[in-house]
Amino acid sequence: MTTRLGVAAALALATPGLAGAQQRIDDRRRVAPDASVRMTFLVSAGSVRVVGWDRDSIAVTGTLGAGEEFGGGVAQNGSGAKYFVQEPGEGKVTRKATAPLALEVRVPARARLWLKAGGADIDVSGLTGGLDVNIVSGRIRVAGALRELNAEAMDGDIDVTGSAGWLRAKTAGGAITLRGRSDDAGLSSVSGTLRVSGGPFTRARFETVTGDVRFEAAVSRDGALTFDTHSGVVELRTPRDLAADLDVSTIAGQITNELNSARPILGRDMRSRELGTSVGGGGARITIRTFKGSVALRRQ
Amino acid sequence: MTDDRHLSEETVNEMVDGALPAHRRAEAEQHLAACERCRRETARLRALLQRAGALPRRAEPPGDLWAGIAREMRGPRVLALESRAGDRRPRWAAVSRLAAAGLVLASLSAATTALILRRDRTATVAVGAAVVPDAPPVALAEFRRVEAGYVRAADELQEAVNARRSQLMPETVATVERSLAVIDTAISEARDALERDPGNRTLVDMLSAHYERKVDLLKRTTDLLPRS
Repeated sequence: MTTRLGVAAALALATPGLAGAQQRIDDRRRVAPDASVRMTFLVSAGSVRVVGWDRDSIAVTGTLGAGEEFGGGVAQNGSGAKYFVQEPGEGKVTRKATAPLALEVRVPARARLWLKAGGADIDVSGLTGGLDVNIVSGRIRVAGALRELNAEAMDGDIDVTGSAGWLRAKTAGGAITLRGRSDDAGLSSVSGTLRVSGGPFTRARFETVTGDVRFEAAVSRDGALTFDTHSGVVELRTPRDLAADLDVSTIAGQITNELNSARPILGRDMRSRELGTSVGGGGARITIRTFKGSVALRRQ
Repeated sequence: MTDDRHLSEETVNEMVDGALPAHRRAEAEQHLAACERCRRETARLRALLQRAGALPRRAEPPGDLWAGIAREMRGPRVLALESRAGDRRPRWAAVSRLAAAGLVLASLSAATTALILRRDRTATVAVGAAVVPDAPPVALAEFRRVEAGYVRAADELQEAVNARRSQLMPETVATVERSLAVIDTAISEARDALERDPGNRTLVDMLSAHYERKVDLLKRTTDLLPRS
């Protein structure tokens, strides 16, 4: 969210350091506990660690990569803040820094944080508000209990530990690992593997094209979970007390069911397979659909 | 969410959808008051949705075609979920993405629009629909029209990416191309299967999902391009 900054009063700007030299940053500002904070890192390498803390201030410390520029400011009423780090090249991230960015950012735990990065690795912990993080090639690691989490990476991995009431994670080639719970989760990757553990999950959708889906988590009795893949393997390892109605269909894959004695039936083309069965007296709706990926239903 | 100067497409979508939380809405409106470009984009999207909203609520395609599909969907082997599990945003958001990609919703036929919207809204999941005995072979015929819209959107985005690919990191270009190749293979395989089994609605759903994924990936790639 755009925050109109009191630019003249609050803008900090660190000019690029000498080539090959790293510049130290120590920028501290007061903000509202629920401030909107936007951070943009137009860099091709580096690491940014964000920690939520129980103070009404933001502290940015660490070192910039060679030649990188740092700027930022806080709205005059403290309701928002905006920071950026940019390497030379007018925002076009094209090179690998020899001495990459290494920052630690402390923000109020309840802040709403938007974070966008080129190639930096992002670690976030201790936030309880909302987090929206979008990177190209680094990895994203989030830990904590967030109200809302949206994480997108192009090629990097996404790793979430904890809980988020609403959670979306999306990659093209990276893997997504979720250890925890969410009332409303959506994980999607083209070729990366989705690994889910913990739970319980109430509403969730897991989608890949070729990536495998490994789900080993609890499911709410009133839950609705969907697994969709073209050629990835779907493996469900469910708790013994799972109460669910399962509908599995595959156009050209195999179905293995170790939850009960139900066996898949062949379609009229003698190639497709489908399985509809209930366990634990039924309850959650679990739908699994693949084109040619195999499906395995197993007990934990 | 915005970049340094403008509201993001997502924020505009959520605002127009009425899904933006109050505190974010206030900030977005404050931005709109000062930014003509974002005002224009918001107005354009509102107008687009107004036009699309004028479609029949159930957005049924004309004629007997829909009757055939509806009959099939009402069959005892079909379970319709209330909504696409795991998606908070109103389904217009997906349409908005297509619109933003240059696919003008109004230019699609009512039937095409209907199928896209219907898929998004209801995520009808066929119970064992890998095989639908006696299903009329309408799925492929109707999907061809939907497919044309997806292909057009993807082509336009691909053109935009190609024109400015030098502005992206080579690693990013490689990742995108690799992922597009994976999706295109999946599209090709699912489409071949649909040709062999033209009444299979599960395959139509799979194909639609692949195309949506492709459009989404290309859209995300254009978002990575520096603003000109």
